[in-house]
Amino acid sequence: MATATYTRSATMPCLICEQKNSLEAVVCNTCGAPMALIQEAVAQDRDPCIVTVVGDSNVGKTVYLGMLLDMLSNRADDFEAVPKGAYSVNLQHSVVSHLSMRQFPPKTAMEVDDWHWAYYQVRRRKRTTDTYDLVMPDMAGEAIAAEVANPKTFKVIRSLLEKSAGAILLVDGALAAAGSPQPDFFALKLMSYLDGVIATRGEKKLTTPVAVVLSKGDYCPEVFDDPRSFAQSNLNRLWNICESRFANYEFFATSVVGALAYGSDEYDNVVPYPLHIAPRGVIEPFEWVLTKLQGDCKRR
Amino acid sequence: MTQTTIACDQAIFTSIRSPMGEGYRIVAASRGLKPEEKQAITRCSPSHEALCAPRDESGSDADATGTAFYTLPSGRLCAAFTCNAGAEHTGRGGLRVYTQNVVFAETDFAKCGYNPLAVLRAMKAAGMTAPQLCIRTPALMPGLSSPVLPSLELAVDASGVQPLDGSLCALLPRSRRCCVARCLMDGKAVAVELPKGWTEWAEALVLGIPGPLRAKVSFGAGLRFSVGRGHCLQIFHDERRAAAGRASAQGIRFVDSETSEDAPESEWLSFVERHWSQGDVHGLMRRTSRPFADCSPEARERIGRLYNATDALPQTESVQILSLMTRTLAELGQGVEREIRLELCDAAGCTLLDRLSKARWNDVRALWSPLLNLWRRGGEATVFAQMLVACVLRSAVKDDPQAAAETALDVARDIPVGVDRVSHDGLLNEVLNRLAEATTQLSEASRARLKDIIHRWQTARPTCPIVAGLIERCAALQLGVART
Amino acid sequence: MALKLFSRRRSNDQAAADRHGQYEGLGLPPTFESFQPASLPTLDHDALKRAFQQGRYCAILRDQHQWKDSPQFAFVVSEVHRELEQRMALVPAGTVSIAQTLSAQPGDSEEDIAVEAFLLDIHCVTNARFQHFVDAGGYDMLEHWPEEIWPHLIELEDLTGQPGPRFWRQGRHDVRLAEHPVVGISWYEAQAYSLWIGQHLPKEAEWQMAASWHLHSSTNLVRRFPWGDAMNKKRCNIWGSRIGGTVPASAFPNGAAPNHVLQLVGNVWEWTDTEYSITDGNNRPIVGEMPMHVVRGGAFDTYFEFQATSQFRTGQLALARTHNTGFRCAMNLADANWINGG
Repeated sequence: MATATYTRSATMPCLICEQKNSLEAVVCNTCGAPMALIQEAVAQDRDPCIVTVVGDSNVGKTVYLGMLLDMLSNRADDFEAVPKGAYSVNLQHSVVSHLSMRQFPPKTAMEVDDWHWAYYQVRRRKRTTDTYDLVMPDMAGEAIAAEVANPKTFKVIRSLLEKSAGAILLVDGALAAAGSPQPDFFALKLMSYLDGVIATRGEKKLTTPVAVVLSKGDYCPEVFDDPRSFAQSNLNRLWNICESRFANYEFFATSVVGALAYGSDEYDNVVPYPLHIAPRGVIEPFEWVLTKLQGDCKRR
Repeated sequence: MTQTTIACDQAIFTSIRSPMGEGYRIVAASRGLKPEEKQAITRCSPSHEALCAPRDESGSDADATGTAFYTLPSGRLCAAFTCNAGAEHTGRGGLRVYTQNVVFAETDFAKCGYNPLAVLRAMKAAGMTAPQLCIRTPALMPGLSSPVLPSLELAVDASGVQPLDGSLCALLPRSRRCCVARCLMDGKAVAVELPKGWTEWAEALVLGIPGPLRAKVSFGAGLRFSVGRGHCLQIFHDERRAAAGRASAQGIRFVDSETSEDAPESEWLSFVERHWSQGDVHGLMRRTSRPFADCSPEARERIGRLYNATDALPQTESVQILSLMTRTLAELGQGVEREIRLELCDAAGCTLLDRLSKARWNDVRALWSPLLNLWRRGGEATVFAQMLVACVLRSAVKDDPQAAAETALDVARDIPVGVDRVSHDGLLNEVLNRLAEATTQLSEASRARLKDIIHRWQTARPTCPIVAGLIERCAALQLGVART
Repeated sequence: MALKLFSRRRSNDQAAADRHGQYEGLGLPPTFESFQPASLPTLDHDALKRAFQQGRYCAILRDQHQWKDSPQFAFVVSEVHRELEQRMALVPAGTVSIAQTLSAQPGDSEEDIAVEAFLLDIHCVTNARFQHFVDAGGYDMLEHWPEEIWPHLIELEDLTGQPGPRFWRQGRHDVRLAEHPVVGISWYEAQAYSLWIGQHLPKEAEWQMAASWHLHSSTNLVRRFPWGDAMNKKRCNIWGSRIGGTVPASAFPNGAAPNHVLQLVGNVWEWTDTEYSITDGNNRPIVGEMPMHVVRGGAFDTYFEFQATSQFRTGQLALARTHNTGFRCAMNLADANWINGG
């Protein structure tokens, strides 16, 4: 993506959907991406890499991404992550605040301008001098599902995936372990959609790295023993499409909650409570994607 | 009550867990709904925590409701009613948002008086706004026997509106509501922050726009501010005061309690504002929900001027009313504008008649000349003036029969087209009969004047039997008027 | 033989740990290729000596009538007393306040529980110690398991299908983790072991007393951590300590409680004997999918520091065999009749 200067233009194209917006706009009128993100990107040497965290509704994207960003900010595994703009901290702030009160963060709304966007500069302090500018939006699972089911319902998702340097696909490991076919079917649809979106580049197998992460591993700890085998056994449709259409993929397991209990609300609905937080397998998928990113994503 | 029936498709957008999926999506729909329509409904429908909680003591969050209206890519229109339906099923806090959508053709919109709120009221009357879900076990989908909903015929009362009481009126003062209306008619998006009364004000504001323009004016009322929904009008409560900056930065005009702006000068807004300030939404609806052929700014000003003139008649002087009628009747125009002008004329005529019937001849004498000019124009002007001429002459006849007879000479000949000759001659006969009756104990001057009057009538209408009758009746006076 | 409370000679392990200063976790679990099984220990043929070698000190004392005729009895008993004095510490009597609500905000309901003095293991039970239980066929000794768990005993197996903690292989622990707390064990396994060695899991109140030291005194001091009131990641092994796995049970001597009990906070969560009972802010119960027991103290992967304090209480499914939960054992003071020359 070429970098342009906008010193005298009255409009600025959005980094994600490339639609023009006024310089005073706070969010893109089309896709809701923060304009501060775009202005930050313009100020850098290169356009940032987009790493999209995708998955079905209620699979744990918000918790995963919020914890990931907080752990990176806390220099987990020798990472150093610096937020570009205060808006980038909102997601991890919300997630950490809720989890510390033994609550799950609220559901991500489908309204695009309600999504949290994170723009971080990430590097490993000791192992390499490479620095990555990463944009990671927290999208509503229903919006992703709607776009996958009917392309162009949410064009921002298509634009994001088209521009993604890497993807982290969260799959509900708990549901899969319980025998539900739902996670497998959703993942199959998503990977097929991804295949269609990126296939225009004319590659035989798609080289975009995709980390398939089995979430809610606390429910089924066996998933940590061998995520690949687990996926092959319990998510066979996903496994097959990964093998046939993707050159760079890997399976991981993750959990954030150490133990889960259940209460009820005034409507007698079941309410889950995270009793304590013990993140596991959060950094590894991200680390893997980072190692697979294309060279032009790095800042030197 | 103006009842009409429109054909609708419907769709339910909410969050449930089912074997086919999880979360917010269209969970049931009519077969007639097109894919692009479903896409648009998915994009525009509110999701988690999108409803503004009511800000009065009587309501709880669970009672919150919202409404929306927008055009679909197919050209059909969508009216949506949103409410809460139990807790969100994943137990992450907040209430589940449930939206019933009704889709209908733009051609049916006119039958509804161009009022989307009429469609929403019809939905409510039909019981469609009660969630068709079992709230206590939201993971299931009972109540809906099938995800395929029937297309239906919705009975809409196009004449019903929700009134604006004083407290609601006060929430959006004059300058701000005019500012909103101006933005909407100029095609600019506007966001209005109010603590309550969102749907009532949505209707009042929408009814301030000419009916045919409303199909393009999408709105959301009682829903949290969202740039993504792209509504022209958003009315909501913004507890966190976060919307102002976002709206302004997106080129959306933001109006709240801190907005102060001079009310824009406009004939159209002038009469609309009058209805708002009186809480007369029904009257506003009748005036603006007409099938205007031309809704351009110039046309709106013309129409506004007509309505303003109509409303100002009681305070307008009679001679100015006649001057107004002269201008109005000179070019009545076509279609709805013609109807409005005729309504103005009717109202003006009633006003003048009322005044003239109570006035003395000396009070109305000054009106005769402009009235005569109007009468002589022919066509609608003559028809309008005719009844006033009769009223003036009858007033004159009561006070001064000779003066009445002299005045009536002006309308005795060169009678323009449009005058009912029979009733006109009856009027003249009435004047001359009264003249003939008032011939006792005349002074010398009066006798001379009478002779002159008769002579002039003879000249004006030599073969008129009415004149002959007058001469006959005055023969006993020996005025020396020869029979012809 | 008196059980000294505060003037304890420090063990060689603790001294060694101090020299190293920093610990590096080995991570869990070792992969199949890198697994180094612990060798079978050589145990005495004599049952009494064997019991001593297996660390079943309290069981020996409890079942003295069984061993009285053994010629080694007096010697073994004296050695048992010596070992217990080295391995256990006295926790004085006091009172603890147990939060009853999930949010545990000031003003929320609490239960005050008086705790009598008791003895507590200085270290968590290590892999090496638990190995004895496995080698002795502890998973087949039904007398140590509640009847409701008997149908599930066959599920309590290691990665190779042998009875044993979850992350072991062929019934053996990795020799490099011998001195690390045993993990991958359910509450039932922890309880079975503690019964086998003649002790019991500490009650939640006992555990909190050991960590908070809320003594019966006019000062009314409650410690947030065994060493004091401020978190210090150099005194414990939590997420913020950047180790990423368990460390030997004798590590972090500077994080000890006043009676030298180690790692009450951090390294591994510790099973207690108490069922987990809690409500939300509206007095509605909060329960797990299956029975839960209280775990305390935080672990190497505890992210929030406030979840690794002496007061923070949480639960775990009783059958859960997580990578970060271990246990230590307690003993009633009444059973320690050798103290003060008894």
